[in-house]
This record gives sequence, structure tokens and C-alpha cells, in this order.
Amino acid sequence: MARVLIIDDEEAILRVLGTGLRARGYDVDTARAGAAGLSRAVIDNPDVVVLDLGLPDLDGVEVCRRFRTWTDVPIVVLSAHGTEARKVEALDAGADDFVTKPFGMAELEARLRVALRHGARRAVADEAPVLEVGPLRLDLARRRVDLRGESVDLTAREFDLLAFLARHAGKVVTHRMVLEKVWGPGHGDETHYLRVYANRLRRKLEEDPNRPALLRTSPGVGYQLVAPEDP
Amino acid sequence: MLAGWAVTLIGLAVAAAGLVPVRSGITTATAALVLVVPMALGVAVGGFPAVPFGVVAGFLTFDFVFIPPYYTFYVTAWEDWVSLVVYGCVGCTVGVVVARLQRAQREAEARRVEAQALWAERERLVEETNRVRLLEEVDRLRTALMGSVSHDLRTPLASIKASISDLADPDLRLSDEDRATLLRTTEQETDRLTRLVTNLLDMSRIQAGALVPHRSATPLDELVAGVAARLGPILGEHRLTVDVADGLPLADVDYLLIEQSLSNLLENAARHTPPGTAVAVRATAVAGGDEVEVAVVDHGPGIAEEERERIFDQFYRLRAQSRAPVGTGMGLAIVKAIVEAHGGRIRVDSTPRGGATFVVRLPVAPETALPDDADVATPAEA
Repeated sequence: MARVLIIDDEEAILRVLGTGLRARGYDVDTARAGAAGLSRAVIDNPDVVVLDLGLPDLDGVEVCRRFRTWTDVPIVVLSAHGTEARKVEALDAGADDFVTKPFGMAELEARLRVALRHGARRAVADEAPVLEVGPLRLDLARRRVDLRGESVDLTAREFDLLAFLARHAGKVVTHRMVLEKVWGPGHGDETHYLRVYANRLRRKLEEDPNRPALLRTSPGVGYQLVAPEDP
Repeated sequence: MLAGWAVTLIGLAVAAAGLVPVRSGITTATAALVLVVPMALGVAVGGFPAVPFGVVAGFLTFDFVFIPPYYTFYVTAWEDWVSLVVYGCVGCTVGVVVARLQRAQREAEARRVEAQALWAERERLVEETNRVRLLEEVDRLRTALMGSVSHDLRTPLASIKASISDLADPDLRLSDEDRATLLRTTEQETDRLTRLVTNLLDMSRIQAGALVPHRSATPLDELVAGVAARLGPILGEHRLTVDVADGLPLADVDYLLIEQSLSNLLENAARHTPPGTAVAVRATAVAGGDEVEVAVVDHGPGIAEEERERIFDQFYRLRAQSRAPVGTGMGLAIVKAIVEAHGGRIRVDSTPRGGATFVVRLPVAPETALPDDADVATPAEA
């Protein structure tokens, strides 16, 4: 079963998350500070990391950044309500997803499952010529998209956007990340472009564009491409 | 200017009236000298504009009263012409000199007044600036407090919600042990929320000046044991020892408030010292017998000399922890306010071999006060 590393300085949270996740069959390791978490990760080699943003020694965003210097392990950030900016910073620094406190355990586990599923595949996605996310199949070399075996017509920009999202499937990508990577540096603030293109993609890909199952919105933060069967 | 003229005229009249009886006995030069005085006075009051008037009026008075033939403006002797001309010249010179002096004095006075006004203005601006700075500081503190209070409120809520969501999940199979862990955590975190809310309420009572202890004779051993039992969980990996002197006199305190103070001190110790270190609570009678002392001893990093006063300030947090401030910064301020509301005192010392020792002195309930020579405590009775 998957191995989770929880990094949080709150004794009570560690106990509750540890108990709940173990009862769900996870192997749980814990660390009470950022530096300790980073070194535990080296030893335990976790499949997913749960990281609190408010740590006594290192800033949580900095911890994300340091993780990303040597591992692609999925990171789910625990953030406090009202700290949207910090959440976005953490995602930009390489976190995969976030859960806002207080949260139910079912919600946390759902995020962990998405992160685990896509995290495992993302390891190979960087070089793969073909990406698959649920019913979607992207042939990057031939710039071709199939949905449930049927070819879909996309403009060049729509394809670039979808390819970027697919390469980061399961991860919440921030507006800034998408804009800088797909539209190029200097477009980081032009969120309205992104909204227009996301809606176009939904009209072409979703069964019900008003209730997207593939391309989810993370309000105020960004987008997340997931397989519809993901929780 | 009119005042200058009036002074000149009255002065001339007085001088002339005074000299007329002795007119035959003095020389015209003497009379001329005396008549310069009222003119000079007029100029001193009226300034430059009084000079021509004074000279003309003095000249005419001199001629009219002191130059024979008297009470006419006729001048017969050539020496008298000389006297008149000399009087006129002297009068002009004196008038101009006095007027200059007077103007210089006026200007100096004006400058002084102006300087004073500027000074007052400056004072006002400084005051204004200070007030703005204070408001900004209050605002900053309020924001910081809001941030840390909401963080402190949300932290136990997160544990509670996560626990409950598991306990309520029908599909999740929890062992009895897990169930007990989750329930116990929920209870502890609820207590923590309660303590925080109590602190917030105490703080608002303190700020409103409405903190009045409801004193009663209180056995400290019971109070300390209760707090230690309740805070055991948050002390977690700290080794807590409790040492209450036998036969400690009853304290004259508000049970709930002192309980809250002791909780804050213990919570503070747990929060600022590494897990595994020892925390001790000691209660002893103070020699003299009308006070008891409760000490919370930790072996953490201790508190620098220069911070010992400020740590009791509201919202103050130790500088060393600016990286990730913990707590609301209210705890110790509340303890101090509560202790002082009891007529007690609080101080912080260094623990031998490192750490901080918070010492609280509280009054002893009257009927159990020890006799003066009490090295041996008397048995406590409720």
C-alpha cells in the first residue's frame, strides 16, 4: 500500500491523520518540521507527502521547492483558509494539490488518491510521446488528440494548453504557471485568456461543459486535469 | 501712535507744570533737558511716528513756557534761538535713537512669539506623528492578533473535524484503539479551543477594565493537580513534575482565573521548550507567611535579560521566534493582568543550567495566614 509522509508540527493533527490514514491502509511516517521531513523523505521514500504550510523551522513553500530539487513525489499541501496567496505560491513551487483546513478525512484521502495515481505516471510523462488521461489520448509528436477513440480538432493554442495540462495531470496548475508556459513569459497576469481557452476545451472535450469532469476549476487558483473516474 | 502722542503731551504738561514754580532758578538748558524726557517716553511708546510730533510739541512747549517772554511764542534773545535749535536737534536725535531701540525690541518680541508658535506647531506635529504611529502599531498588532488568533482557533478545529469525519464515516473500519485515539484527541482539542476562547474573553475583560477576581480560600495543591491533569496531553513529551509543599496555606484567589493563568504558563512552557525536557510546577509558602509562590520551571532556551519585561506585554513574542510565531501573544499578558488583579506579582528568572522560571506570588487567605516565624507550614484547612 502507498506510503504517506505527513509533515506537520501539530501533534494532534499528526495523530488524527496518522490514525485515519492507517485505518485506510496507508503506511504513515511523520515529521514535525520541514528539515526533518526532507530528510525522512530521503530515507522512507514516500509515495505522497502531506505538507503543512506553517512549520516552525522552514517555510512550507520553501520545503516544496527543496523537494522539487530532487524528487517528483506528489505533495498535497494543508493550507489555512484565507491564505490563498500562500497556497498559490506552494503550487508554483511544485506542490500538486491542496486541502484547506479544516477538512474531512474523506476529502484528504480523495486528494491523495488523485495525487498518487497521476504522480506515479508523471514520472514517465516528461519523455512520453503519448499521454493518456482518462478517455483522452494525446499524441504529442503528431499533435493529435483522441477522445474515446474519436479524433478532436483543436487549434494550436488549445493543443498546447491541453498538452501542458496533460503533462501535469492530477496536479493543480496555477493560472500563472499555465500562462507563462503556454502563452510565454510576460503573460502571467492575463487570466482572462486562460478562462476563454479553458471553456473552449470544455466545449470540445466534456460531455457536459457546464459540469466539467476532466478539466476542473480550482477557484481563484488554477486548473486541474483529471480522469473522470478520479474522486 | 496715538498712545505715544498722549504720553508725550501728558509728560510735557507734567514737566512744565513741575518746572514753572522754579523757572527763575534754573537755566533754559536744564528745562530743555527735562523736556527731552517726555518726548523720549512718547517715542518709546509710539515708535517712529511719535518722533516728529514729540519734537514739535516739545519745541513749542519749551518756547511757550521757558523762553522769555513767557507764554508767547516770541523769541527775543539770540541765545534762546540757540537753545531752541539745540533742543530741536537733541530731541530729534534722542527720538530717533529711542524709536530704533523700540523697533528692535518689538521685532525681537515678534520673533520670540513666532518662534514660540513654531515650537508649538512642531510639538503638535510630533504629537500627531506619534499618534499616527501608535495607531499604525495598534492596527498592525490587531492584524497580527487576528492572524494568530484565527490560526490558533483553526488548528484545533482542523484536528476535531478530521477526527469526527473519520468517526462518522460508516465505510471506515476503525479499531477500538483508533476510535479511542480519535475521541481523546477530539476532547483534548476541544479543551484547547476552550482555553483559547477563555483567554480571548479574559483579554477583552482586562481591556474593558472589568476583570474582578471572585476570591475564595483556594487549596493550591488541588488547583495545580487539576491543571496538570488537564494539560497533560498538550505537555505531550515533556516530563511534568508537580511539587506542592505540605500544608501550604490556602490562597485568596479566584479559582478559575488562577487556573487559567497556570494553564497559560504551562502551555507557554510546552510551546517554547523542546519535547523531552522537564517542566516543573512548584508551590511554596513565602517566608513572612502572607504570600504563596507558584513557580513554573522549564529547561528551554530561556529568556534574554532584555526581554524579561516585554514578554508580559500584550502581543509580544520572543524575537528569536519571529520565523514562525506561535501563540497569540496574549497568554503571558493575561497571566500578568490576572495576577496583578489579585494584588500579586509575576516575574521571570533564569532556571539554573538553562531555561525560564516564571514565579507568581499570590496572597494567602486571611484566616489561614501563617504566624511570622513560620518556617514550618501549618496544615491547610478549607
